[in-house]
Amino acid sequence: MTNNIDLSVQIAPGLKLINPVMTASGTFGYGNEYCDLVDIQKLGAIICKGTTLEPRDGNAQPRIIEVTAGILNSVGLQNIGVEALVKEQAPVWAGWRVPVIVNIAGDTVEDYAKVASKLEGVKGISGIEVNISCPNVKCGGMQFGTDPAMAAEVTKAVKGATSLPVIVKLSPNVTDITVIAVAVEKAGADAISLINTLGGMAIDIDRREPMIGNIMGGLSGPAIRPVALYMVYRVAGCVSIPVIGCGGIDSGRHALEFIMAGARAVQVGTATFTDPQSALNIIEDISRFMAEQGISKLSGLCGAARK
Amino acid sequence: MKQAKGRVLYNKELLRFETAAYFLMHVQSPGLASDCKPGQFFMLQCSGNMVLRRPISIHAIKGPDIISLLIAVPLDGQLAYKKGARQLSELREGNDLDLIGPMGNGFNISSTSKNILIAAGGIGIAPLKFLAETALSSGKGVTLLIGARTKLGLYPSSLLPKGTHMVFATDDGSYGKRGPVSDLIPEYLAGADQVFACGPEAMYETMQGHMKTWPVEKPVQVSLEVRMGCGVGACYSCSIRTRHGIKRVCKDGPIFDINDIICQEVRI
Repeated sequence: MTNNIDLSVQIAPGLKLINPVMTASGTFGYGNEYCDLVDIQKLGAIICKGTTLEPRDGNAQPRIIEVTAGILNSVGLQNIGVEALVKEQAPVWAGWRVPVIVNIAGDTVEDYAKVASKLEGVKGISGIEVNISCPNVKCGGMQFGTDPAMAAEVTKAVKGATSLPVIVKLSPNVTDITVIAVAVEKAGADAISLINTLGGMAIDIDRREPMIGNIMGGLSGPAIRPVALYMVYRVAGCVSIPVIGCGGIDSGRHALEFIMAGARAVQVGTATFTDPQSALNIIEDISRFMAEQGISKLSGLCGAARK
Repeated sequence: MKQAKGRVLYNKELLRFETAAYFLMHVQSPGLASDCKPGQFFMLQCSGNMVLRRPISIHAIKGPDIISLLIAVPLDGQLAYKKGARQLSELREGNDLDLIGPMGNGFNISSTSKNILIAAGGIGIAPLKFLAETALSSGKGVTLLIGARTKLGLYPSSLLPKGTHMVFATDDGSYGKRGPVSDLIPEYLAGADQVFACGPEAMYETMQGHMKTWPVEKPVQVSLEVRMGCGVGACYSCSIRTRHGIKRVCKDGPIFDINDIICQEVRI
């Protein structure tokens, strides 16, 4: 990496990252699972598995299948619950240089606030990402992300329960994502991340049944990248808080597309399954691009392609 | 567990029947085989624009730097989820292959076992050759029951370790005994201290039924296959409900005690 390149980004008040590349929730566990394979301290941030008030078992098998240029998944928010997270994971994170952001979900507005309050003052946690966009559970997800009033209510409740920076992760499964974005910004969100997966399905015509146990799943990977990019472009044009881009990013070139569309930072998810080094390679790629273009600060590229 | 760039030394079709072909692949990378246990697997990166790696069990160890893999390739592999195996089958001698492993818990051969019984259904032979070789090299007696739908799907006995007592079965009776391999188990149970099996879930369901009538209880370990995302226990795509709570097949398995698994939960 070139020394005079400044990749640092401020994604929320009190949350500055050494580079703009984070691992997306649900694809990187609690971070430690990848320690043998990835130099995790070089990441911009780690966003952990979606966490609920109580532990959850998740959905029936099959939970994942490869489709053209992507995957469908329906894990269903399997997680250890916030208490185990605070007791077992946070102390490990407290010794890490890389900031860990906890992704939270709930069945009710109160659940979100309760999970957030349990994270308050816990060492090792640098921020909260509010998941109002999980397509794979009946409750505790997308119903909050598809209604601007509900999205605002959850955001307000979480902001009221924590002093940590709050990122709200938006669903693409809406008529107009900018309406939701503006609503959560007004409700006090410190940043917005987008997009979560797109609802989708696949059918096994020989067995005459859906290929995912939960019938539908969330589509991710390169297939959704142009959709995600356009949504990021639109949202970045109508909010003033930082926007974090996510959706099929698997190379520095694609990360830069999101940054030039107006994203302050990016998340890498599905690409980690293809190659656990993806996020680190993307950091290198961005740095190299900046060196080649003679740009020393990443902020110089943020929104560069906006018209 | 590590991520390595391997070199394909050999990759050829071993056998072919109605629905699939089995490819035998040898991959080399420094120290690749050093920490491998029977029952563990590698996540293989597929070529082209495939997103998911494919979990492939270790078939045999050919030296400190070389592992052997047996890969089932669906013949109707047009859909994305079937294409990965096909692309792996198209790798040629000298090609590079990115792989991560060894992963998973592996079989546990008890040091006190004198004789073990192994049952392989179809491609289930994949992890069991390494198991048989490991058991034999530590002086244990090995009986290997091998089943397939027809003789076309039977793994060649010439490639199995010498000193193994081999018994064959086919569903249609075209070779060996007629019927599923699980039906052979009771007959060979008496001398075995441990039983190991790998095959379709239906085979484990049959075994669970049979076990109720076994004269003596024997510990049975089986290898499970479900679709995986990460292979390291991070994504929970392979989680299943078991008698002892929710388990990740990639990290807590793929080897489970047969009494712990609920067959209906294991779907691919």
